[in-house]
Amino acid sequence: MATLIPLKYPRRNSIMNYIVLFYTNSSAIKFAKFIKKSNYIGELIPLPRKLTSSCGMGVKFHFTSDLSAIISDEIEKIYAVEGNQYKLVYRAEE
Amino acid sequence: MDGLYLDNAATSFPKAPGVADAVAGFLTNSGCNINRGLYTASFEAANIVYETRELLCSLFNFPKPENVIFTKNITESLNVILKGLLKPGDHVIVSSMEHNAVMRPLASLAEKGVELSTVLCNTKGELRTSDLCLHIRSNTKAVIMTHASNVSGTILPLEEVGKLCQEHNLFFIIDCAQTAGFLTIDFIRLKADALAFTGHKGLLGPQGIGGFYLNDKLASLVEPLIEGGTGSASESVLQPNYMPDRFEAGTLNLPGIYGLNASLKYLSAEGITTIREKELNLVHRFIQNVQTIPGIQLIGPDQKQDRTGIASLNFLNHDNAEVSYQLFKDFGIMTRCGLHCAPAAHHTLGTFPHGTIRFSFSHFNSVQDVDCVINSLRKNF
Repeated sequence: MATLIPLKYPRRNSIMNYIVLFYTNSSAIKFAKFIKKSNYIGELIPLPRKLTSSCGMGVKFHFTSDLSAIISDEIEKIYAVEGNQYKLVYRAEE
Repeated sequence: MDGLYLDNAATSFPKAPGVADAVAGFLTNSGCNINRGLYTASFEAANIVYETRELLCSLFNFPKPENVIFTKNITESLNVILKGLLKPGDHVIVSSMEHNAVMRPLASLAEKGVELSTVLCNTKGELRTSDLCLHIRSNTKAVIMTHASNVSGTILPLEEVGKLCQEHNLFFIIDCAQTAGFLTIDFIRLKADALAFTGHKGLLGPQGIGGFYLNDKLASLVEPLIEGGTGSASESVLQPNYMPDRFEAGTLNLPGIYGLNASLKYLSAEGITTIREKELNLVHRFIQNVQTIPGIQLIGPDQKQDRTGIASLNFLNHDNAEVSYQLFKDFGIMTRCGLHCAPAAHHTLGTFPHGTIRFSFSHFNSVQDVDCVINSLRKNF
C-alpha cells in the first residue's frame, strides 16, 4: 500500500464536510460503519464524477477533529467540501 | 416436509429460524444490487453483505472481512482455489477421504501436469499425520484436506496437519463442508491459508451460497476463475487486484447472503458447542442401538467425540439401496445411499462399490426421531 504523504488538511476546531475516497467499496462500507459507531454525522454516497472516474462509493461526513485521527491505508483521498468546490486535503502516495 | 429428514449432510433441513423470512424480506422489500446503483436500499444491502463477512470472520476467526469471498457453494470455492493456484509441476497432498469436490478438480489438474499424492487413512477413515510427512517433496506446494468425512463422519487431525504444513512451508487448504456449524473452527489456530465453506449444510442457510477465505499471500497468488463487473475500478478493463472484488465479479447471490446472515446470527446465539453436543447425543444413541441389531455394520470411528453427526451403515444381508428405499417408502425416513460423491473415501473404508446408507442428523432432530429409525430398522432388517 502507498506511503502516506504529509498532509495539509485542516487542523482542530475547523468544522468541515469531507468526502473520503477508498481503494475498495468494502473499505467505504467499513468506514461508514465506523462513522456511525463513533456518532459522527455522515453517510455512504455515490462519488461525484468530478472526483473519480470509477463508479464507486465514498463516505461524506462532518468532522471537527484532526483528520489524522481517521487516516488509514485504506483511504485513497480526502476532499474538503467548500460550497460547490472540492479541495483535495489528503492523498495517499501512489 | 412430510416424513423424517435424515440427510442433513447433503443439505440441512429445516434451516435456521429467520432464514426464510430474511430471504423473502429482501426479495419483497428491497431486491436491489450492491456496488452498482448507489441509493439507500443499495447501501443497506451492501451493509448486510459486509456484516455477513464479519459474521463469518467471527465464526471462523478469519482476520479480515474483505478476504471473505462469496461463491455459490463450496465446490465452486474449491475449484477457484485449486485451479487458480496450482500450475503444472506443482505437487499437492490430499487424504484418501476427500470428496469429489476436491478430487475432480485435482484429477483434471493432474492431466495438465499437477502431481497428486494421497495419504491413505485407515478403515475407520482416520489419518496419521506422520504418514503425511512421507509424501512431502521438494515441489510440494499445498495440502488440501477435508475437516471431516462426509461418508463416515471421521474428523481429521487438522491442527497437527496445519502445524506440519507450517514447518514445511506448504499452503494448507481446508474443506469444511461437513464441520462448519458443528465444530469450532479457528482459522488462525489451524494455521490454515485457505478455507472453503458452504452455507446450506451445518451453517443452516439457503442453497446457492458458499464461499472461501484466503490469507493475503494466497489472495495475490490465486488467479481469479471468473472475471467481470464489480462496480469498482470501472474505468479499467482489468479485474481489480484488491479483495473481495478480485474474486467477486458479477452480481452476488444477495437473497442467499441475507439468508446466511440470519442463519449465522442464529448459530451465534445458539452456540456451536450446544449444537454439537445435541447432535452427538443423537448420533451416539443411534450408534449404540444400531450396533445391537445383527447384520448391520457401522462404518467409521466408534467414539462419538471423533465423529460428526452422521452415521453410515452397511447392511450385510440386504442391498443398501433397497433398505434406503424401503425406509422411505414404509416409514418416511429420508437417508442417502450410495457413494456420496466420495469414491476415494469408500475405497478407504472398504465400502466400494456397494456404498453405505448415511443417516445424518441435525440438532433439530429429537430422541424420538432416533428411536423411530431404530424401531423401523429392528422391525424390517
